[in-house]
Formats: sequence, structure tokens, C-alpha cells
Amino acid sequence: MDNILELKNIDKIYGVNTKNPYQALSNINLIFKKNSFNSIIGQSGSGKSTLLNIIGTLDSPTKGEVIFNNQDISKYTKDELAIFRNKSIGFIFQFHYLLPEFSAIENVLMPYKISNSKVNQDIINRAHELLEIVGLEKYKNQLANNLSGGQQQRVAIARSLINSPNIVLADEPTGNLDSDSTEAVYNLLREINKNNNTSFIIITHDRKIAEKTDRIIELKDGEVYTDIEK
Amino acid sequence: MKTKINEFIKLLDNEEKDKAIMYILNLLDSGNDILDIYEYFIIPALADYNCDNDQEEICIWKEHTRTSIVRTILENTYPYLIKAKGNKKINKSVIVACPQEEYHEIGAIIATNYFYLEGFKAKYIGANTPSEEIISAVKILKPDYLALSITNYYNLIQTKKLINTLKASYPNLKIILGGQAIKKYANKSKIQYDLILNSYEDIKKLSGDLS
Ligand code: B12
Ligand SMILES: Nc1ncnc2c1ncn2[C@@H]1O[C@H](COP(=O)(O)OP(=O)(O)OP(=O)(O)O)[C@@H](O)[C@H]1O
Ligand SMILES: [Mg+2]
Repeated sequence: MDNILELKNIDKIYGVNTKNPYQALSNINLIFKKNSFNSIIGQSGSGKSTLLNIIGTLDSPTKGEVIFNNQDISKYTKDELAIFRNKSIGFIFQFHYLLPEFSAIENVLMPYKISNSKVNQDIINRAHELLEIVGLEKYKNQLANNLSGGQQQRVAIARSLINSPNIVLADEPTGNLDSDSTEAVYNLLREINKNNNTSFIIITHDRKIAEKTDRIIELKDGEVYTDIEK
Repeated sequence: MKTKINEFIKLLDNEEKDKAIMYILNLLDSGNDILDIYEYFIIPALADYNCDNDQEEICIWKEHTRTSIVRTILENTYPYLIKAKGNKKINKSVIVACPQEEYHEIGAIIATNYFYLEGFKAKYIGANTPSEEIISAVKILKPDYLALSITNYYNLIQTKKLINTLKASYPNLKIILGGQAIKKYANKSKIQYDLILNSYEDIKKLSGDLS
């Protein structure tokens, strides 16, 4: 099977030129297959978010290469990177970071608006469809502020998919949800993985999610401690 | 034998609990070997089970029903196990457990029975046994072996930590691992162990090596 992503010898040192540099990641080597459904687990502070931010090109490694679809993106300029990120990667953050003064559907459309000046009917239809998939078509005009935590989380999922990314990176997507909503979010991600061939890398503390993914990567003190693939 | 197995599986498929239990007890009463009953009837009854219904929720309770019947049968074989063991005895003790969050215990119970049959002092301490309780059992019972059964691959993560802790405090304790997750992922998970055993033959061989 083809790979979507390859991490080669990744180190991350925070505060390199300061008195107290901190090595958050050491020599990470991982290959992710296309259409795969992966989880990253590990204790608080083990480096999960640091790794996901590097994968998502929101941060750069101190050393090592990040290769997406066989292209070394470490060499991209800032602008190239921004375009690439917006098109190819969907993000779901633990604290969903919706724009509170905008409606659900406006939030879903935001990543598209960033890369395309004009919003056309096709993309509006797609946004409706995504809100329907996450079960929120009734709430499409509600302001993000007036949605419940779980509803906001589902809007964030729809938003992560608007540009049909190759890969979705999710940091604790069910962090604040009850177990029913957790199950619903899992089912949703899994369905998208199957139907759209989207790859997923999900950071989670929730065993209910992790045990259902096809691969569990455990980080410990910035290193890969366990890596089991079904 | 083949027809008998099919008849038995059919009773299970139809969830005829009483008949399925009596079927096995009759086989045992008429002198069939207890190991054959385990290997050809009880183990395949679950291990080869595939739900043919495509509604997931139906499959789940059907699986539970079947497990409960098989479990009753398993418990009812115990008097025959006592007889089959006779006075075989080796001077080794083993604690068998399923680690935290591991609810699949039929394999662990069968493994315990096999250890027993081979003359070990064998004690099964349960499914979903929290790490502290496993550690406490090791501390108090001081077994020669701790045997852990793992089916769900997520449980390798927790078990790996448990074993690291145990190995640090009890360097002489031998760790035996078994179960579906071990068969498939023991190497990938880099879990520590002394022995991986999967079958009666494996346990018999260990017992032979020891005596
Ligand atoms: C019965 C069953 C259950 C029962 C268990 C009841 C009980 N009290 O044990 C219940 C209903 C609780 C259950 C729950 C779940 N189950 Co279930 N279950 C099964 C089933 C049908 C049979 C398992 C079994 O008992 N096999 C028979 C025994 C005898 O075989 P065995 O365990 O492999 O043991 C043999 C050897 O491995 C070895 N052995 C095992 N342990 C040891 C230990 C030592 C020391 C030694 C020497 C040898 C040894 O000896 C045994 C004899 O040969 C399997 C399907 C299957 N085909 O296996 C699914 C299966 C194991 N379950 C599965 C799943 C996903 C679940 C659930 C997560 C969700 C669900 N679908 O219900 C929950 C999880 C619970 C949890 N957190 O642990 C998956 C596991 C997939 C995976 N990779 O993790 C399976 C494979 C079904 C499937 N195809 O999806 N389950
Ligand atoms: N910007 C930063 N500057 C300095 N140190 C940082 C920075 N960001 C993270 N760290 C440190 O790097 C380590 C890894 O942090 P990271 O956020 O990746 O952990 P995590 O595994 O995501 O934890 P959690 O489960 O709590 O979210 C921590 O010790 C943290 O203090
Ligand atoms: Mg984090």
C-alpha cells in the first residue's frame, strides 16, 4: 500500500538557543499508509501534540524530514506550506476553536474561504452535506457560541473535511464528550475514513477510541515506545 | 467425531442450552477424553464462531448467549478434570489472570485447567484484574509463574507496564503470555516475557521440561 506520510529522524527541541532547551521528541521514525486509521496515545507531556503539530506543518522539527505523498515539505516556503496545509490537511483540535460569532455553516466554510476568494454553490452544498453527515443540518444557522460542546465538536469535524483533505489530524477529538457522543464521533470518523479514503491520525486518552483504531502508537518521553498495527 | 462435533455446534447455533450441556456430559460419561472435548468441542465453539447476521447489535447478544452456554459447559467439566489429573504433581505454582480491561477469559480458564491437568498448582484470579491486584497476588502467593491472557490488542499497552513493574520487584518471577493478541502482536509490542504458550501441547511440554 502507498504511504501518505513519512517521518524521518524527527527531533524537536524547544528553546534551542535558550538556557533551558527541552527535547520534546527524539528520533521519531514513522510511516503512515494511505487510508489508514491511526491513534497516538501516551501520558500527558509525552510529546503527542508536538508530534501532531509537526505532522500538520504548524511547527517545524529541529531535525529530520516530513514527507507527504513522497514530497519533502520541509523545503517548502511559508506560503507554499500554508497553501499545502489548507488543501491537504484537516485539523480537529481538542478545544475546537470555532469562531464564536459565526454560524455553524460559516465555520464549516472557513477553511475554503481562506484558500478561495469566492464561495460557490457547489461548496455551499458540500458544507450542507457535511453538516448533515455530522447530524447538525438543523443547527446550521446557529451561532457557534450557542451550540453545546458536542455539537461544536461535530462542527469542527465537518470543518476539517470541507477541503476534502488527504489526512485529518485530530488532537483529543472526544476530549470533552460523554461516552455516547464519543461513540458517535468515532463512528463518524470511521465512516469518513471508509467512504472518502481519508487517513486519520488521532491523539486520544480514550481507550474506547484507541482500541478501535487499526494502529496504536504510544509515545513515552518523546520517543515511540509501542507501535502495534492490526 | 466429525458428526458429533457438527451436532454439538448445531445445538449451540440454535441456542439449545440444556441439550448442548447434556451432549457434552454424555460424551464425558461414556469415556471420551477430556482433552478431546476441550480441543474439538469447547474451544472451536467460540474460537471459530462467526455471527452470520449483519446486524451488529444482534451479533453482540448472540455472542454473549453462546459464551454463557459454553461457560456453563466448561465449569461442568471440572469433576472430569479432577479425575483425569489423577495424582500428577509437579512442584510449581502458576497464577493465571486477564489484565485490567481484558474481559475475554474463556482462554484463560482453559489454560488454568490445562496447567492443573499437568500437575501445576494453578490458580485463576479473574478477568479484568487491576494491575495492583495482580501485583498483590504475586506478592502474597509468590508463584513461580504468572500467566496472562490477552485478547484485545489495546491491553498490551497496560500489560507491558505491569510486567515492567513486576520484573523490577520480582526478578525470579517467570512471565507466561497467551491469547490472541499475543499470538499476533507480542513481537511488535515489544512486551517482556519469559514464555509464550498457546496450547495444551505447549503447557505439557513445559511441564515435561520441569519434571
Ligand atoms: C466470547 C467473546 C467475547 C465475550 C467474552 C466473554 C468471556 N467471559 O470471556 C464478550 C461478550 C464479553 C466479548 C466482549 C468483547 N469482544 Co469479544 N469475542 C468473543 C469471541 C466470540 C470468542 C473468544 C473466546 O472465548 N474464544 C475461545 C477461547 C478458548 O480462545 P482463545 O481466547 O484464543 O484462547 C485459546 C488460546 O489463545 C490459548 N490461550 C488464551 N489465553 C491463554 C493464556 C495462556 C497462559 C495460555 C498458555 C494459553 C492461552 O488457549 C485457548 C485455547 O486454545 C471472539 C471471536 C473469536 N473468533 O475469537 C470475540 C473477539 C475476541 N471479541 C472482540 C471484540 C472487539 C470485543 C469487544 C471489544 C466488543 C464486542 N464486539 O463485543 C468486547 C471487549 C471486551 C474487553 N474489553 O475485553 C474481537 C477482538 C478483536 C481485537 N483485535 O481486539 C473478537 C476477535 C471478535 C471479532 N472478530 O471482532 N467478547
Ligand atoms: N512551546 C513550548 N515550549 C517549550 N516546551 C514545550 C512547548 N510546547 C510543549 N512543550 C513541552 O514539551 C513536552 C511535550 O508537550 P506536548 O504538548 O507535546 O505533550 P502531550 O503529549 O500533547 O501532552 P497532553 O496529553 O497533556 O496534551 C512537554 O513537556 C511540554 O512542557
Ligand atoms: Mg497535547
